[in-house]
Amino acid sequence: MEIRPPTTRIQVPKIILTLVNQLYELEQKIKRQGDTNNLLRNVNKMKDAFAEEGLPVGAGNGQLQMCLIYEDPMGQPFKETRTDLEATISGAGTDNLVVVEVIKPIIRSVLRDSSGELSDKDRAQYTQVIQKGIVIVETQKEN
Amino acid sequence: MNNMINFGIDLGTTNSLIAKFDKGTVEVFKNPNGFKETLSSIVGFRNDRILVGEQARTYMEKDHKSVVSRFKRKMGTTESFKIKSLGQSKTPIELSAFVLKELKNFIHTGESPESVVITIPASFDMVQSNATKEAGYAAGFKQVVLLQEPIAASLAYANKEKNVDLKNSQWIVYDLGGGTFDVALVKIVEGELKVVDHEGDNYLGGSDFDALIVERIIAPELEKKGKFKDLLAQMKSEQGKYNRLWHHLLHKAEEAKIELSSKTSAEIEFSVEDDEGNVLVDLIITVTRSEYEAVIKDAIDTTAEMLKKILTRKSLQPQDLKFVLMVGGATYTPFVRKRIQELLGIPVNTGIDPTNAIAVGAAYFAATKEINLGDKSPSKPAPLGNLRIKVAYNRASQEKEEMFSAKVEGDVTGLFYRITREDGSYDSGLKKLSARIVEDLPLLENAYNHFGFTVYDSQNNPVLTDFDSIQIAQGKYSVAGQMLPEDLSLVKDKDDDTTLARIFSKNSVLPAKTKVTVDVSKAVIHGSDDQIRIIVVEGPADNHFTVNKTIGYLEISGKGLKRDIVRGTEIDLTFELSESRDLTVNAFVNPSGPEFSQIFNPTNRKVSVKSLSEEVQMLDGQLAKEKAEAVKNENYEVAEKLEKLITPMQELQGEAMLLSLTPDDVTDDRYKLDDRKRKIAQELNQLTSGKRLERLRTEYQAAKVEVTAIVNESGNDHERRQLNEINAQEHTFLASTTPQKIQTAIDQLWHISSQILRRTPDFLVGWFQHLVSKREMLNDQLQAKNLIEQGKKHIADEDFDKLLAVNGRLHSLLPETEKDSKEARHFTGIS
Repeated sequence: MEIRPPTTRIQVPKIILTLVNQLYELEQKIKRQGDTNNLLRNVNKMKDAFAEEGLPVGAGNGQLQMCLIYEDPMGQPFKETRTDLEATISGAGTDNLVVVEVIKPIIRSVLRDSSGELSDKDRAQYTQVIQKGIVIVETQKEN
Repeated sequence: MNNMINFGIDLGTTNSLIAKFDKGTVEVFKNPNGFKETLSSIVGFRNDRILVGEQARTYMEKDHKSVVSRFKRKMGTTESFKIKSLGQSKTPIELSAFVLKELKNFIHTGESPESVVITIPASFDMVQSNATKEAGYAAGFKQVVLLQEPIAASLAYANKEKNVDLKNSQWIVYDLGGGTFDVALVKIVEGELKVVDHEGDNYLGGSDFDALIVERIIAPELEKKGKFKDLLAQMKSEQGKYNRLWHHLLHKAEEAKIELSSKTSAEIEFSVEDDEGNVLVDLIITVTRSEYEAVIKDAIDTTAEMLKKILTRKSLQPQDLKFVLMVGGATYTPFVRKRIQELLGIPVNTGIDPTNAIAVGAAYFAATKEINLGDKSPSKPAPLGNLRIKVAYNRASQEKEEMFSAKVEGDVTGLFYRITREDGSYDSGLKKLSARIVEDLPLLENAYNHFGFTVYDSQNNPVLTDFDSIQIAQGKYSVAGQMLPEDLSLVKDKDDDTTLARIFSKNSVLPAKTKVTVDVSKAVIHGSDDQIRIIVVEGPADNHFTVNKTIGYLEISGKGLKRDIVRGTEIDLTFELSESRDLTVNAFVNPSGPEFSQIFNPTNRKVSVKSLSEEVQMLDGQLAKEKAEAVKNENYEVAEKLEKLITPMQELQGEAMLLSLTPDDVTDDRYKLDDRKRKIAQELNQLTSGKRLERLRTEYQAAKVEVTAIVNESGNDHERRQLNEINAQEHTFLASTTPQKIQTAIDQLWHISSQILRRTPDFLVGWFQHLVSKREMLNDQLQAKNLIEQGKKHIADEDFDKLLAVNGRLHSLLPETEKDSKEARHFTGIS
């Protein structure tokens, strides 16, 4: 099936982006400091709410949902052709770069038809990067 | 007909923008890649690609032999930049042309302007100005009109504040950008805006402020908290131990700087390991506005000095000036405005958007300039009909990258190509078109990946070809992926029956995973025989569950619990279906915390003997009820058919009883019985669905009449819309043969009416009186008494919002059995 991107770029209210970014930071903190109070479960629930329930978009019967997913690019390779990352190179090398620090994650929006009548295959999905990841990259050290 | 230029470009030292005047307003175009209006004026040449903007900026500091920035300052000089990776030099004109061409890509309206206004600093002389024009022509524009930046900014202001009279006045344009500072005196001379004098510093701007925050505020604070030797040197040196931290903190400092524009303090949070190996986790350093102001004070004072120089040269007093117009991102800082006003005693004007004012002003100017292509008559981009592109690539892939290759037939000299992924994650940059091209394209997992493929001529005008898009399906969209033949649903309690909640829909491609949260609708006492049943069935989700095939069955029994599960507890269920259709169900009970897990596969069906016999009982009851009803309604045909089901039903019941005596029965009897049960259930459903549909249709019509009346009387716009939507879809669900759909519509109708009634005084009072009539059975008599007193008072005061709250609390005091009018049957224990 042919999927056509929307003609206009999706605008996401800043407050939503702030919430998603904070969620990411919360998750990172829990990973660093341990999850003694079982907080990760709540974080995952919020993540799922953004990723699966999403926000209704457009007027009419409200069958389109915009879901938000964040991606932690930690450890991923970086090349000059990647435009989902805003990278700063640390150290002297500029080849074999990998992400060594993530200041902000990549946030993508996924437009879904929520009518539930369609199978995943026919469901119109259109993904867009709505926030570039802000990262620090470094030449990968040879083992 | 509009014959004006309309397009304006701010070709800046650090950032560039493009804007268009259209019907009285100006639109600043955004980078299709990311959301910024600005394009970094940086050009890079890496691995045979040409990169412009952010992508080039990444490599600016580290690979300055191949990446060039700030070339605007060299415009009009004979100096050129040696590009190591190209083995040749590029002039500032050529480099600026790359930026201009890239800006053309921002125009989403499909236009390809041939005439444009480009802004230049007030300090540009004739040679530099001509060089800028050259860059415009090299970028493919046929007509280039230049405009000085301070004038552009002033025009943006004058067009925004149309009532302000600027005649016979003069003012200062103070432009403090990311990396440069310019200040100019603008005056209206004989009705025309003119720059009278100017000053500037090419190495002063907002990015210097970020570095100051790190150096003077964060680093000293960090040294107090941990053990660091030569912290600053180790941060700033490329080889330094803390070089990574430096870049990290620069980002954080920039965020803090922006926050400090509106708040009096900002927190910077980060983790670092000091020289002795102590990890300072989630360290918080607070930067106050006054600390920030103290560190940038010297820099701001320097700019004030330059401004004063102009005044001195022109023998002007501050009061001769109307205002100082603030332009450039760094002027967002309140201190910059405050300090300038303080030092010069001239009112500061912040009436325009500092980041895009110059581009906006350029567009306003462009709207007054006629297109005049002169001899350079418009030559539409030549449709190179002779270019044939033959491509080869995998349309479906399981890899993270897929190779794209193409053979190009025709004349490729001077042409470029560019591939971009439509979600904004990938950009190949401009690459020379050759007879054979190969590119590795990164793929987003589990998605259709769309790439645009465009060929450009040397002026970045798109060239027509017979190929323009690449589509690759990654992961689950692979045609080889197995599809699910039927819906998989979870059985839940609903009213006095059960309902199916779809987990995976038919034709979902495997593997698949999903999560569902359910509420426990009955209490399970630990150690008891009570149980919650997670039942997964295969078949249309509109069916009654007994008709579908049970493929997964997980019991949470009181025996396996350490604590009670109270009513209302949430259970998180995760369902995973592997490619071979093995179903894994994980149940996580919150808050008592036990986790239950079970794997099912289609060849090894789970049928619980106990559940089976209960289901058979239930079915038997249903059959008897339906038959009685059919007889009562004199529907003898159906009654007769139902009668025929009774014998097999009784046989089934007997066998199920026998089997339930040996719950660990190892034969396949249970599966046979399950199949027979389903067959009977299917027939029963078929025979009675017509009746159910009829009943629901009548029920729907009645509900509609009642709810419509309520909406007409007291509904708001939103509720009217909701009702209209249901009406609009009426023909589909009324014609449907699935009772569930009509039931959903009825539920929606009642939902609308309850929304309205909850704000209707009569209803609230009636509800209150109903609750009062039940006062003897309320759980907490003392509280009930208080609430009833309060309620009476609210009625007297006509305070219905508060009455609603009182009703809610009284309702919660009702005994469980009274709360719902229908006594819920708890077959599964989840809803």
